[in-house]
Order: sequence, then structure tokens, then C-alpha cells
Amino acid sequence: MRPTSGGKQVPGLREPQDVMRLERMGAAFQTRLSFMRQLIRRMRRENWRLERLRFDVDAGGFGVSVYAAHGPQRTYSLVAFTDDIRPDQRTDRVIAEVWDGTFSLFDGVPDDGDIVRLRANTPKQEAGRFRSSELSLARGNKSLRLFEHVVDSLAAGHQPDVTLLCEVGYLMRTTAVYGSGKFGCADRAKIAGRPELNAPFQAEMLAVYLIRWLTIDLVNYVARSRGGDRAVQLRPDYARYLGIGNSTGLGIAPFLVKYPILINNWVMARETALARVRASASADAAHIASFRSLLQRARRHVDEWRVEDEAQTARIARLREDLAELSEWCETGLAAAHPWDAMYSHAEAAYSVEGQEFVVSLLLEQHGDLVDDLCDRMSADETPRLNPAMTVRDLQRIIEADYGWALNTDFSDPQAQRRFWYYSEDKLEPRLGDRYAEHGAELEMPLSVGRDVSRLNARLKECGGEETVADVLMAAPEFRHIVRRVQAAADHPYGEIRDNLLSADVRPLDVLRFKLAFFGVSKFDPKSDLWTRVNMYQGAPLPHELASDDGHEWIYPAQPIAPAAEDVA
Amino acid sequence: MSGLATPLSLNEISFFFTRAAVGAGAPFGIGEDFAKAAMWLAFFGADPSAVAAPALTGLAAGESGARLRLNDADGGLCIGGVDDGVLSAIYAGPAVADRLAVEAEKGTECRILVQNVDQPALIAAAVAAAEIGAERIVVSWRATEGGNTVVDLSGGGVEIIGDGGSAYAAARASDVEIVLNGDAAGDGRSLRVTAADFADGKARATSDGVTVGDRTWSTLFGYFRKCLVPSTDRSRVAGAGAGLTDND
Repeated sequence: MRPTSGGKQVPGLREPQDVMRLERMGAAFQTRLSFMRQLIRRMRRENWRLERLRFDVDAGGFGVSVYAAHGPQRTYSLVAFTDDIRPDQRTDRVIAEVWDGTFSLFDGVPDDGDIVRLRANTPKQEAGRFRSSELSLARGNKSLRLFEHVVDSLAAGHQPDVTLLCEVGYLMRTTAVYGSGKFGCADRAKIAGRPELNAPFQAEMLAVYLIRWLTIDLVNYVARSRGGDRAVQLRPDYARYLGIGNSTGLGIAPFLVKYPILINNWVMARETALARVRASASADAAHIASFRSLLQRARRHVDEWRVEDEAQTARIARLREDLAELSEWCETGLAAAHPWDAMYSHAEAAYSVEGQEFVVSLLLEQHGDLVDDLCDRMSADETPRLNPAMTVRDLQRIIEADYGWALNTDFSDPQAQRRFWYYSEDKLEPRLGDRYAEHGAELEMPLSVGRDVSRLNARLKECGGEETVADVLMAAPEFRHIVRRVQAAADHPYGEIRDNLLSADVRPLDVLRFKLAFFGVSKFDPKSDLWTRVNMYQGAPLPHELASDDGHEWIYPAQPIAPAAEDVA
Repeated sequence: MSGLATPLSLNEISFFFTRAAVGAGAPFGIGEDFAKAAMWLAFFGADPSAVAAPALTGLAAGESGARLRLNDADGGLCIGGVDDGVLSAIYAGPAVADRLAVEAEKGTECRILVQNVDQPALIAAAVAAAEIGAERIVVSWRATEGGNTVVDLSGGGVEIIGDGGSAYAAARASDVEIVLNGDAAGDGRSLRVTAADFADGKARATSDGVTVGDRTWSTLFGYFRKCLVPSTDRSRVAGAGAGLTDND
């Protein structure tokens, strides 16, 4: 079925069978539709006032802090607990039990009773219980080497080493940011009707933005405690370059399978945005000049993107080549009719997959007037519903149209089912197992979409074409989940990952990166196929800069310049 | 997770109840509908775990059967267990909702008798959760304490009528009658849950969560835990990303 947007076929939408393959998903980049970008634009547009309400920490920075974000109608408060933990306790895994910082995003302003209750529970994270007054729960660990270096430098009266600062890029990294009813927190349904929280993950994004502010306050404060009058504050450009890191593992992968309608809406918005830009008939000189300036900034940003992973290093190197070629292409290419379509077509023909997806990011960036309205279409408050009256014949048609990738997979090949996804009894940590070497495959999560479709297809061949889904499922209830999913695919073509997630060579990293790109993160830094470090809000305006901002977007931040030697105290 | 200090969110009901059904032996899709029905029990004002726990126990023990048969009956349809034993509402609920949806699409009247089902309230909740949207759907059963309970889902609203006691959990199996688009006989006396009550209950569950009993929650959580894979040294080290210590 050809993708539609708002019920109408949109010319130029990229096909789901191309877009929703892991190779391309794993090459995704943030765009202006990404969720943290939406939040920043809203806070600027609505003149949100950010205020530190409480900062009761000791000389080491340990204690409780409260940071409030006052929107036009409501206030949201980050309640933060910073604790002193031993190095051997510090891990980014779900199985961790203590953290340098633990956080709740509170609906409103907490009173003393709330603080006492949150003190008893927030540091416990998953082992605590929370109320619907808590919208998000998070935790993070310091980048010890950078945090200590920054504090020591500031305490001694000079700025930290900019090379180290840029190499790490964050003072703290979150290791989980929960919302949507986890551990008793508020369900999304409670807040989805609020304009400021309707877009996906806005509460979580706000929590992370406020955590970033806290980390800057902490280094300044601890430095002052150590150095007294000699201490200096962190330079604003350094502070702005610091984001919040994140260690992202398998935990976010099941989400992308569990919510096909939501994922469809994310991708449909992005693809519609791309199609609209490509449909633009021309670009004037000012627009072209602005784009080339943006590209220059983006190239510098990519030049500064360094990772240890060899495969990603090679991809980044190729991306640099692609962007260099794009600069040359722009000398003449943008004079063509439909210049942005010409650009994307050129990228599609000539560039790596990362290069193509980076071009998507570039193309959307300066067309806010064309695409920003699509942000309102990215949420989804419905889940797939079964249509019991559908005939077997119609169900088979959907499978043939949308699940060719599954039907073309030989699931009798053991390698096609080598992996299984499961929840461990260890704090429900999501893990990936080897079906033929480990126990537990019979308890696997329902991420086996391809295999289940294949089995369903085989079963349907035994049924009459006019039988109903109700008839089939009464006799074979084990297919209920996959039938519901297949039916949803008919109207939500971008909702399905069109690759086998059980395959021996599956890279969960591709799933992680796809979701993270929609969050708006940058500087993907894979550590294995199972997890990656990333940076959130790197380059974003600081809280006191939101009001004075000139509207310039903060994406593709460049590293700050080290001060001249005479400027260092 | 023994007694809960704060109410369950709806998302937690979805997560835990789905997997508790799987832990009791049901397939995932059945678990999903079981969780939705549990939410609707909460909207009715009931403790969903009080109904869910005995349903799960009956299924897991093999006392409530999962295999269904569908027969024509006088003026309607009859759903029962293939062995005529007690029928699991966990399985029967979705099947009944499916059948109603098919019949509703025809626009005709229909009566469905569900025989000997362990937890009738789950049938009503499953039908409610399916949001079939027919002009008239009425689900009724004889409560353990005596008297009929009638759940009227007509026009998308919910009213619960009857003096079958305040508990929805059944101590023994009974038949459930569903009437689609026809006249429904009932023994209703008092309107126990009005449409406004239901709307309030739904809003309250959404904004404040759902309180569940300690004992029944403990039972349910025990079935949930059956879905978790025991940890091994290998899986602890290699099954997920990040190191066991991170001090960069």
C-alpha cells in the first residue's frame, strides 16, 4: 500500500520497505522534528521561565536540588538527589543499584512532604514506588574524569582543558529516563491532553534538560567550595557545549516493536516533511547561502565526531567524504528546478546510507515553515485494535503487501532464529540471548514479528478465504497478537521494522540509534552492537539564554575555541 | 514486589497483567486482551487483581479450560469449553468480544450464551474493552451471592445494575448471557454504577492509578515472574550492553 499522510497519498514519500530496514534505521540523524528540538522551540516561543528553587548540597555537591520550569499554564519541577557512591558501585547497566544522581520530574512544585517521600524512593529507582505526581524518573552517573577535571580546574582559577571537555562532551550521563506509568508514575493518558506535553517524550526531554542545568551548577558550586575566592565559573560557551550523555542499551528496543502506530506517526511525519521540501520548486539566493552556511557548520560538527568503534569510525569517514562532495555539488546543483529534490536524488545515487540520512537532516533544517506543523502528528494515543470480522483473504493480502521481507526469510535456517530477546529476573533487565546456547527462549519477548507472520501465513493457507479472523482465532488463539499487528500494518505502513530481529547478525544498535535520532541526540558513540553512548542537548541554549535567543537553531554545534594562553589564569 | 505502596498505573496493569497471563499459560495476544479487560474492571470501580488472580490460578492449574467451542443455540450462539468443563474467562472474553464484533457488523440481533465461565466479570470487561460500539450490548450473569449483575454497554456508555454484591470476583463458575441489539431480561434492582460513575472511575484510574489488594497482587505477580529468565554469569556479562562498572 502506498503511504498516505493525513489520508491523502503524498507524492515522493520514501517507501516503507526502504525506510524501515535496519541498515537505514541505524543511520538515522536528528531532525528539527526531533523531540528535544520541539521542546526547546516551545520553551522559547512561550517564554518559559526556568528557576532554581532549592540547592541544598554540601561542599561535595551531594544533597537535594529542585529546578522548576514555568510554562504558560503549568510548572514542572526536577527533584534531584546527588549522592556519593563508590567507584565499584558505578555502572550504567539496568542492574545498577546506586547512582551519582537520581531524579524525578514532578507535576507542579513539590512541598516538603513530597521531597521527603521522593528522598525515600527516587534513589531506589525501580525498587521505589511513585505517584501520578511524578511524570518521569531518571538516574545518571558522572563522567568521573571530566567532572573532576572541570571542578579542579575551576577551583584553581582557570577553565578546564577544552580538548578533554570536547572529547567527553558531558558531565553526567543518564542511564535510564522512565515515564508513561512506570513504577507508579503518571500514565501518558494523564498528560497527553496538555499542549506542552502532547508531543512524544516531552516530560522526559524536559527532565534531561533540567539535569543538564544541574550538572553545570554542580561543577561551579563544588569548585567554589574547594577553591574559595580563587575559583572561577565555567565559561558559557563551554557550558553550552556540554550536553547530557546517555548510555543506551537494549531497554529501548522493545518499545519500537510494541507501538507500531506511534512509530508510524514519527516516521510518517519525517517522510512527509522530506517530501514537502523536495517538492519545493526553487530556492532563492538567500536560502541557498543560508543552506551552504549550515552545511559548513555541519561539516565541522561531523569532523569533530570521534569514536573508538572501528565500524562507526569508517562510516563517519565516509560521511565526511559525502559532505565534502555535497559542498561541491552545491556550487551548481542548487540552481536546478526542484533543487532540494535534486539534492536528495543525488545523495541517494552517490552517498553512503549515513550520508543520505544526513542529507535528510540538512534538508529539513531550514524549512521550518514547511514542516514544523508535522510535529503535531507525531503522537498516538491508540494501540492496534483487532478487526475480528476481517476475512482470511483480506488478511492474506495485507501479509503479501507488507510482509514480503518475512515471507522471504527462511526461518528453518537456525541462524534466522539464533537470537531471542527476554526480560531477565535481574531487575527486569532486557537481554539478548543465544537460542541454541542459553536457556529461556520459551520466555522470549514478542519481538519475533517476521517468524510469527511466517507461521500465521502458513496457518491461513489451511483456512477458507471467507472465514473470519474471529473463526481463526477461536481455534488458534496463539495468533491473536500477530493478527492484530498485521491488521495495524495496513494503515500504518511505517510502523513495522522490516527486518528479522531474531537473526544471528541482527544489530540492536540500529534499533537504538533510530529511536535516539527521533529524541534528537547526537554524537552516536557505539560501544558494542548492544549499546551506545550519545549526547543530548549538546549546543542547546542554556536556561538563561532561552528568553534572549534570536531564534537561531543550535544544531550541529561546533567545539568551543580554547582561550589564548594569556587568558588562562 | 510484595504489597504496593502506591497505586498501579494503567501502563503497569498492561505490562504485568499481560505477562501474568503468559505466565499462567496463555499466549501473548490473549494476555494483552486480559490486561485491557483488567483496566476496564478498574474503570468499573473494581480491584482488577481480585478477579484476575483466581482466573489465572484456575487457568494455570488446568481447572479452567482454554479450548472453546461455538455452537448454534436457541435464537443465538453458545460458547463453551470443548470438554464442557469450567471455561477460562481469560480465553473466553476475547472470543466473545470477537464474535459480538462480527455480529454487530451485520447489524442484527444476537444472543450469546457463555457456559460455565469461571469469572463472568471478565467477560463483561472484555466486551467493554473491545468498544464494539453497537447500539445495545447487555452482559448479565448470576452473581455468587445471588441476584443478577447486569452490565449495560449500550451506546458506548457503561451502567452496572444489580445487587450481586460489591465484589466482582466469583467463587464459582456461572453462565453469562450477552444480548446484542435485542431486549435484555434482567433482575436488576439498583443502578450500582451509573454512566457518570463509570466516567469518573475511568478518569480517576487514569489520573491517580489503580489500587490493588496485597494478596491478589502477590498471586498475580507470581505468575508474572514466570516470564522472567533466570540470570546466569554469561547473561549478566554478555546479555546486555555497558560494563558491570563504568568509571570513565
